[in-house]
Parts: sequence; C-alpha cells; structure tokens
Amino acid sequence: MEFDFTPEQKKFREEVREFLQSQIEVGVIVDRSNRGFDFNSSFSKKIAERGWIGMSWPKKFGGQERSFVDRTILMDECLKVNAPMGIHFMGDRQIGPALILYGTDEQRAEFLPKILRGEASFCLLFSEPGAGSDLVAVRTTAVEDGDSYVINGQKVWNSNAHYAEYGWLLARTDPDTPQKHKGCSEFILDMKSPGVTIRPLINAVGLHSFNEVFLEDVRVPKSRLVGQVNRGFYQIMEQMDYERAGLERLMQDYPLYKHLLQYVKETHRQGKPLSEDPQVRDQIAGLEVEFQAGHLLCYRIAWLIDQGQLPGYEAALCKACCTRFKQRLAETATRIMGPYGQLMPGSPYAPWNGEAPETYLWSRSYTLQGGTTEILKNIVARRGLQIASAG
Amino acid sequence: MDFNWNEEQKMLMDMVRKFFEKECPMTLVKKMMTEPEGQQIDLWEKMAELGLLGLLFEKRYGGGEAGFLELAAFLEETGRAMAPGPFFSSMVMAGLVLAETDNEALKAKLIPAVCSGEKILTLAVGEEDDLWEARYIQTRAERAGDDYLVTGRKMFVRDAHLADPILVAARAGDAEKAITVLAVDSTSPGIKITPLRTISGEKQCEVLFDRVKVPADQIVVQEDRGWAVIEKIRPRIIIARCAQMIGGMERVLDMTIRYAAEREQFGVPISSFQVIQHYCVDMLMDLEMSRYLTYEAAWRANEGLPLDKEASMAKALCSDAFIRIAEKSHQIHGGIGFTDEYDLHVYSKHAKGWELTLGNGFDHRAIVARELGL
Repeated sequence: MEFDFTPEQKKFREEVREFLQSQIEVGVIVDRSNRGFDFNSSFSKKIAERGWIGMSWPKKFGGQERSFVDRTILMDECLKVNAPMGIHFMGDRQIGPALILYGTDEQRAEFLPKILRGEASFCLLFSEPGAGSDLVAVRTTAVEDGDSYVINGQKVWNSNAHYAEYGWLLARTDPDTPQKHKGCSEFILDMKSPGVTIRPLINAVGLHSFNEVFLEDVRVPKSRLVGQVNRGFYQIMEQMDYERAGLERLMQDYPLYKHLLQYVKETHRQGKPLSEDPQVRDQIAGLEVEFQAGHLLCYRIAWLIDQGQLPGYEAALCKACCTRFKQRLAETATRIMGPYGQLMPGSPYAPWNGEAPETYLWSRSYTLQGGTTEILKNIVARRGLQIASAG
Repeated sequence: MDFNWNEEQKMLMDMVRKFFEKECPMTLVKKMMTEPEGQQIDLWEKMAELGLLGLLFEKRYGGGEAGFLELAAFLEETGRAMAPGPFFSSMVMAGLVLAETDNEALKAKLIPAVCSGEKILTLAVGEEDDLWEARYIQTRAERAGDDYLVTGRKMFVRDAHLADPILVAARAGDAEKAITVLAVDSTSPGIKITPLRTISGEKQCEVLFDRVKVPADQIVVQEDRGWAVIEKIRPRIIIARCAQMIGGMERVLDMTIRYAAEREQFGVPISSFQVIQHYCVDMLMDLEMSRYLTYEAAWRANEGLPLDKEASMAKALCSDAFIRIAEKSHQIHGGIGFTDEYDLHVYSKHAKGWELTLGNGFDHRAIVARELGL
C-alpha cells in the first residue's frame, strides 16, 4: 500500500494550484459551488495550452500517457475552486476516450485535436421522455438514406445543449430486433444541423441548465457514426464506467464545504461561535469522514484504471457514496445556518449569497444524473456482489 | 499510490485465514465468549508457534519485525474469524507501549515472553471512559523509597484476569500530562480484579489498586514521556481495532450474500428481490468506505506519519458502519439470524462492543472536528 503521491505528482499539484490561484486573482474563477461546468473559452484554452486536456490519452492521439491518478490530481484542484471546465470537460473525460476506443481515423483526426485545443464542446443526447433509467428503451430512430442517417425523435435532460457545438447521440438503428440493447448506435451530431430544435427546461433551482432537444429529419453523415452499428448501447455502458468514476461526483460543491467551515467559525449564536456547538462539530466531522472516504474511493478508481482494470461496479459504488456526501453537505449546511440557510441568492443577509440553499436545490439532481443511486445499486449487486437479479 | 496489500501481506492473510478456519471454528469462538477465562491454550500456543504474537517486535527478542500494515493484515483476519484470546491486549496494546520503552532490562524480559505467548500482558489506561485523556487519569504512583505505590481504579481493562504484568498509566506529578507507565505484577497485594460481563464476551475487568508496591525498575516509561507514548500508541490501537472491524464487516457481508442466495421465499431466492440487493449494496458501501479510511490510517502508522485525524475518521466510520451492517444483516437473515446456533450474533455483538470501546462515533468525530481546526 502507498497512499502518498510521487514527488512529481506533488509538484504537478502545486503547479495546478498556482495556475488556478492566478485565475482566481483575475476573476476567471469565482470559487462558488456548481460553477465548475460553466463555459469559459479563454479558461479552457489556457488549460489546453498547459497540456491539461487529454493528458492521460495515448501519445499517438495527442495525449501524454500520464496516469489517471495525475488527471485526478488536476481535477481535484480544479474542483476545489470550481474552475469553469464546461467547454473541455466532456471531451476530455468521455468523448475523446470514446473516440480513441471506437472512432475511425477520420473522426479522431477531426475531433481529438479540437478537444485538445479546448475548443470542442459536447452535450449528451441519451435520455428520452420514455427512456431514463431504462436507457435501452430509446425510440429516436436513425434510418440509413444514401450517405447519411436521418434522425427523428426527442431527447431530454440535455445539460448545456444550448451551448454545445456537438451532441453525442444514442439512436435506434434497428427498430425490429426484439433484443433492444442490440439495436442502438452512437453518432456525433452537429447541434447547428437543420431540424435540431433546442427548448430550454428551467430546473428546480430556477436556472436554465438542461434542455429538451427535438430532432426532426436531421441528416447526419455516415462518417459521424461512432463505432459499430447496433453496438451503441454497449459502448455507452463502457463509457459510463468512466463517467461515473470522477471526483466531480464528490466535489461539485466543494466551495460550499470550505465556506461552511469558515461560516461556523465566524458566526456567533447565543454569544458563542457556532463551531463550539457540539452538534455542529459532530455534523461537520461526519461530513469530513464521508468526504475523505469518498476522496479515497475516487483515487482508487483512477488507480485501478492505471492498473489496466476497467472500473465497473467500483465506479458505480463510488458514485453512490460520493453523491450521498454531496447531498448531505447541502442538507447539513442549510440546517446549520438555520433561518439564514433559506436565504437565496440576491437576498439581504444571505450567507455566501445563498450558496447553501441553492446547492441544496441542485443536490436533488446528483443522485439522478449518470444513473440513479438505485440503478447504481442494481449494477453493484449484479456485477460486484454477484447477487442474482430479479426475474 | 497503491490501494492493495502486497504479495507477502496477501500470503500472510491467506495463511492466517486458513489457520483460523482450521483451528478456530465458530463453536470454539462461541464457547470462549461465554466462558469466564476466554482463553484456549492450544490455540494460543499455535498462534505463538506461527510467530503471530510477535509480529511487531524486533527479531532479537524473538519477534517478526513486521510493519504496522502486516499487523493490520493479521488483525483483519482475526476480526473475520472473531478469534478469541488475549492477543489484542498483549501484543497490540501492551506490545506497542513496550516497543517504546527505554528500560532495556524490562524489554528483554517481557518482549520474548509476549512473542512466545508465555506471558500475557495488558494495558490499563482508561478510568471514567475508554477514550484516554490525561486530565481524567486519577490513579497515582507515589514515590516510597525505591518503590512506587500505585492507587486508583482502572476500567475496561482487557484480559486483566489473565495478564501479568499489567502496564498501568498512573499520575506521578501534578502537571496534567505527568503520567508514568509501570509494569505492575498482577499478583501483588492490594490488587483487586473484577471481571465485567460484556455484550460481546470480550474479557474486560475493573482493576483496583490500593497502595500496590511497584519497584522502580518496573517503570516502562517515565513521567516525562509517559503521556507522549500513550498519545502515540492510542491512534495505533484504534487503527488496529478498525482492522479487526473491517474483517468482521466483510465476513458479515459474505455470510449475508450467501444466505440470501440460498433462502427461498415466494418460490425464489430472496436475493432476487431488489430491496435485499440494495441492502447488501448499502453494506458494501459502508464496508468500502471504512476499508480505505482504515487502510490509509494503517499505512500512515506504518510510515510513522501523523495520524490522529485519520485514526479517528476510521474509527468514527467503522463504529457506525459495523453496526449498520450487522443490523441490515439481521434483517435479511430473519429469524435464523436471531438464534444462538447461527453465527451472526457473534458479529453483531462485537459490532456493538467495538463501537462503544476505544471511543465511539461521537467521540471520534469530536477529535476530527478538533483536527479540522473547529
């Protein structure tokens, strides 16, 4: 066992920290929860210039073959201050690795350099009104027509679809097969294509973060089919193991955690600091225990990938633990702040301009996106504990 | 980073697991839980022969010179087997203190005897509670010529009924931390040992000292350093206990998954029900979170790094997690798990006993809060 980082890794962490500090000083980073996926092209370009996109990809695809633990260190520091990673995040984490695994040479040549430059933004077009946890029920169709596929259907919960240049689409290419998971394919869709209509959905926080996307006779060149026809569902399941594995599942609200610690030290109730209240101390220490355990689980996933193992159930388990922490953080923070914990952004006297209640509202989504906790538990039961599945 | 045991540690765990499977069946574990002595000489001697009782100690005293991670690996298996016997008192609690002494004569006399199992030692620190704070130590060691006279009351002293000597932390001066540790001959006049009856059958005693004479050469650590030694070893003892809890939790989960696959109701195995599956995954989440907090803390102990916060995080979670795991397991097992014949109660009793000793979740979260600078 070895829980320390190498001297190179420690140096790297320092380097990242210094860079991020400089970005805080110029106001690019606002150090507030839930801002880590903001779109900021100059920030993404700066990250790209430093070689911090695709750093764990193979060299022949423009990566540096650095370890996933290294990448996790980068994420760790970026998430601590919620640096705006929105543009490059999806390409770096998911799309690039998927293209490296399944893409054609032409697709790699077109998209990987753009991702590495911090210029390619993607949204996911997976879920549908009738296909949530049961993703395989997607009904959006992709029908061959000459050198194109013609797409028809409706997608939903598409975060950042109103900003993203490309959509990563799952659609049905074989409507007749009774084995539904063997009839789907993946495509890269230009979000500006004719026939794409993006309709905003306002979330419970009151913000426009996700969308409905309507696809009406949208033509996608055949060259934009990713991987094998009708293997799309399997490919997505494998990508999901990467999607679930990251520290972002734990640290999306890390600024709130820092601010909470500061708040209890600085805020007096009944003549003494909140931090002297044994209940407050117990609650916060409980958060710390959960946070540190989740942090270790995330680094363990990165380490497993570095050992050449594909994290399957481990990633699902990790996400279930981490998102539970994030929800508890917002619950605890609002409760400790008492009546001030309900004061929303813009309200007089709202601590940290309402970060806690705003995060509390956001936190309902954490155990839903990327697989609900219940679906994750099904995966862990089946793949991790080898318990017979129902039916 | 490396989150795994190394090959040697895996071999050690495998060897210990097989040893306990053969030499320490559940029938023996249950018998020892209810018997006042709680010690099976045959098993004890075999553990000594395998070198398990001397793992931590220097080779020149007959030990194995293993690191703390090897100790944790061994202890994880003892928790899995719920192995009875005073090894935790003797080799871990007293052993860690002995390793810190500069009393060479005492070291040369006691450590080989701990390694060979010939002597059983224990450590008596706590009085009001089992969390060990210097200001609550009232037991006094007063100078009387060449000797000390020890007077006071120690509680929850593990295996005191078997131990000789008992290493006792006693106040030797007025300063808060002026605590000395003495090796007290447990047959000395003035000692009264009263066994307690614990939920887990773990053997703990009240030990009363009434002007018990202890020669000066029995000082393990002088008062200038005594409390520093206790503070150094306390998190290590806590991590050692966490390692046992990890083994115990893992065994409960294994037992539960197997039972759920075998047990049929409504014409199908109950493991086919999602609610049962999710309970099992909840148990695994608790286990894995506890596991890596414990391993990191054990690694820190191995490397000699500061570990007060890490040890307390591990014990805070292990304490609560083992309870939750045991309770879920009882729910899944139904009536059979509530019988004396079935093995589950052995684990759920230890989950409760180990939650409440060496500091519970509240106690350790208080330490974590302090370490966070609150």
